[in-house]
Amino acid sequence: MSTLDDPSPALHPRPEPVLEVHNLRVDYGSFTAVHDLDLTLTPGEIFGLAGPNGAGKTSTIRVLATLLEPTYGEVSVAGSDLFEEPEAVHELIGYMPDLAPVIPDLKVWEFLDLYAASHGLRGRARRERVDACLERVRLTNARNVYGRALSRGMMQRVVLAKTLLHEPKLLLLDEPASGMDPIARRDLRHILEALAEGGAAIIVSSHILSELSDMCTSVGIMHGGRLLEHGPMDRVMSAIDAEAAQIRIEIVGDAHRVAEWLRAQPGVERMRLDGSTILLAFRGDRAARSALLRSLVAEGFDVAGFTPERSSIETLLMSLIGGGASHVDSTGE
Amino acid sequence: MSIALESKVSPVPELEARGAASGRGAVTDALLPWRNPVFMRYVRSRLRLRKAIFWYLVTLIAATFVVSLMYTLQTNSGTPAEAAARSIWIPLLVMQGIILMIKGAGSVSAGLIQDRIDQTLDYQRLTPVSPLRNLVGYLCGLPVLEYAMFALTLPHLAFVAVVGRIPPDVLLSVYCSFFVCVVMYHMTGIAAGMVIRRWIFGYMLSILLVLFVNVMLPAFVSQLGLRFFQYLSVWPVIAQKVVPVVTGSAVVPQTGNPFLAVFGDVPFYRWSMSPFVFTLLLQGALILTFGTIAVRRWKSSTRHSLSKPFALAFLLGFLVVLIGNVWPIVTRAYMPFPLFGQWSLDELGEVVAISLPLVYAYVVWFLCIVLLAIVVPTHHHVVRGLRRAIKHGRPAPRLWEDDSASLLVYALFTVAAVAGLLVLLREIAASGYFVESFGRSPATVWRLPLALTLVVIYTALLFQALGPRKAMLVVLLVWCLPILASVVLSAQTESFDGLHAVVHSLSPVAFLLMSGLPAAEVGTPEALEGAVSAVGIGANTGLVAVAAQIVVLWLLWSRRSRVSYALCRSPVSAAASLPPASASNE
Repeated sequence: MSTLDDPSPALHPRPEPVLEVHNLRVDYGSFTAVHDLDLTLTPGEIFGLAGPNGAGKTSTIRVLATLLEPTYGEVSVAGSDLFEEPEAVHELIGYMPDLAPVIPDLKVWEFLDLYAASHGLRGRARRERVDACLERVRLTNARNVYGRALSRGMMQRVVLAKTLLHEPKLLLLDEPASGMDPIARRDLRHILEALAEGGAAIIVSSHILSELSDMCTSVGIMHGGRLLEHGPMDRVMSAIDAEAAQIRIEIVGDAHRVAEWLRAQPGVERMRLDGSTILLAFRGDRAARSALLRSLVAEGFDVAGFTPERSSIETLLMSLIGGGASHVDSTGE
Repeated sequence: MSIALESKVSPVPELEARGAASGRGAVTDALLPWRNPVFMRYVRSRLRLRKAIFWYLVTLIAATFVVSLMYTLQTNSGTPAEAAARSIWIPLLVMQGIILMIKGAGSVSAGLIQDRIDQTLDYQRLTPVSPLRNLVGYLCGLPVLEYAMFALTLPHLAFVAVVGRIPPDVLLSVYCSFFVCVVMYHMTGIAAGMVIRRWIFGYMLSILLVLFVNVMLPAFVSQLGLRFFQYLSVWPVIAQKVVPVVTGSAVVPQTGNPFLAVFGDVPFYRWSMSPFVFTLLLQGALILTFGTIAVRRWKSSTRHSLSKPFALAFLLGFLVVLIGNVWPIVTRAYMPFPLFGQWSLDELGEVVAISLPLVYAYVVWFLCIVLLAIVVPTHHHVVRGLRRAIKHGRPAPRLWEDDSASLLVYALFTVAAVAGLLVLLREIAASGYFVESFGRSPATVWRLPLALTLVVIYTALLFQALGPRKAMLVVLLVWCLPILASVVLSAQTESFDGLHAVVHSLSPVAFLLMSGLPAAEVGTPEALEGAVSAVGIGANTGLVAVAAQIVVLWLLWSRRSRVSYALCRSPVSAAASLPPASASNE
């Protein structure tokens, strides 16, 4: 497992964390949904939580949102204890559930007004805030539409607006982009980036992994209730690249002969031949890749291209939970 | 473009603009409904004219029809205007009761359950509004349409009050009691809404509860010695305050009508209390209980509806009121119950000696079933509690925690239930009811307290060892089936002998009954001697059957506890098959 500590803490003093989770555990009877989770998020961090179904993502987010009582563990949000001071924490967090519902018999502005009032905003400040958030999610024209008349994607945007009303320091978004059209997804990404620039920390759980890599600054992979790997996006990817990579090799001439030769080389796990292109799942660091290229050339093969492809979150996820090589085979990417 | 839009968003105003501020602002917020966002939500959604106009018209038309028809008929028949107007008060009260109590309670529970199903309740949970303020918002907001409908009947009430010259103090006390009752029913709806999963069940339960408390209890149950149930309804206050005004008599008429047959003050040990005060106290206690349920479930949906200490205190309070109400009878002070009103206390020997302890045992056992179903933790909670305790260096959860499965706590419930019964039996014996009935204190008088002890412990172990779902299966197969089987057997042979009694007594329900019948003590006709002997056999068989079930349940629970401990104490082995957790990125 890679170590992802900041290499120069003295030069860059770490800001006060927005979220600190220590030893968090969630059980449903004898099934452990979240297993002794440790996590720290700093201001400006957009943390992507990825993992297969049943990994414990939603349980983790519901605990952080104070909606689920954990078996044990300590959680603090901007210094406030989640379990001792839940009302103080509620001022600091914004939560958007998967398939977020909207109250059907309220108009969109009334729905937002309800939660603006619940967060203590009054009078003109409240009206302005509601209007601003509606504008932010591009729903100003729908302010007088009833909740029951909204489409799935519009509901998501309304609930996102609700979540932003009190400018939370910690945003918990469970599959926030489900049902959104591409423009709304792009807007969501921009909104999250702007919030992060303002100092908020954001946790985004999503199955659309490419989406996470687009918007997140850090990522965590959950499986079986455990956080297998987490840290800044670039480092996690580099760590994975250092251990395993997908290499695209362009051959001039008989690619079959090259494939036969490659199959016998150490570190080669799987491959697929596509015309004169060989897609290779290779386990080894930069030096090993360099050695492979040298050997190819030394064997007299005409190599027109040798490109280690950057790992995606998919490959990271698959490699961590044990399906990395087969993934290369199945997608052929 | 989005980024450009973001620049237009104003930052959140500073704390001075926030109503959630502490101190004077918080107090103001709590007092002013329009500052309560939850209340305002329902004002917007439920009072929207397009939806509410139908109900407004129904109320106006119905109230105007009743008032005008009754007033016209009465004045045409020569009744003075004042008396005619007063006579309209009770129908108007009934109409107001239907609006606020029945329709209102249904709206409260159904609305809350719907919010839970939609998950919009979670949004409100995540705001910094306190649970109490949220509770007040839902309590006043969910039935806001019904309050508006009630308001539409106020002109009619004003007509009745002015023309009928009803004293303001009477109006005030009646409507004070009326609204306390309304709040209690609505709190029932809130509590049901926080616990029940389907809105239609919550809606029906709330309405049925109101009907049960207002119709069934006064008519039947309260006549059987459980008179205090009557004070969960508005009838005592109507009988004491409204009926004299309507009839023009200072004394409540002895009508024989079970709804209005509440006479004088409330018996409570050696004292008597005003029905108005007793009603307020009793309903206030229930409002507190339902409020506690709602707040606990609001804070965490996985918590028990009541804590163990609160449930025990509730049981004790119930016993104090229950025994206090029958105290005048068991001490031979006076006869306060209408059903027995035509009998003197000297004629009640066997009724008091046999029926009263049995009714007590069944009612208290039923309450224990309800309370134990609430406070006994499920297997999931037991495991969670163990893990949490072990993590904090304790061998088990603390005694009174929700996740604690402590026999000591269940024993305290049993002790409280049985202690009340012993007090009752002692007073019955001291007042000479046993001697009057059997010539002496029955030798089998110990059977009922023993049976009550066993069935309460049995109930706790049933929930603990099997969980609520399997417990329901046992209720069907072990509690009900033997009784039904023995009834069929008896119908076949047209007798009730030892075999029938043995089958019958396998059910704890029948066991309690047989243990409470001092059959051998009663001088019985020769024809019934077989049945009397069978009851004795049944009591003994039931004792063995319940004791055996307790042992089995105890063994099951012990085995389950060992498995739970083993599971919780070996986290390393459980985790060994999984990849290790990564280091924090700090």
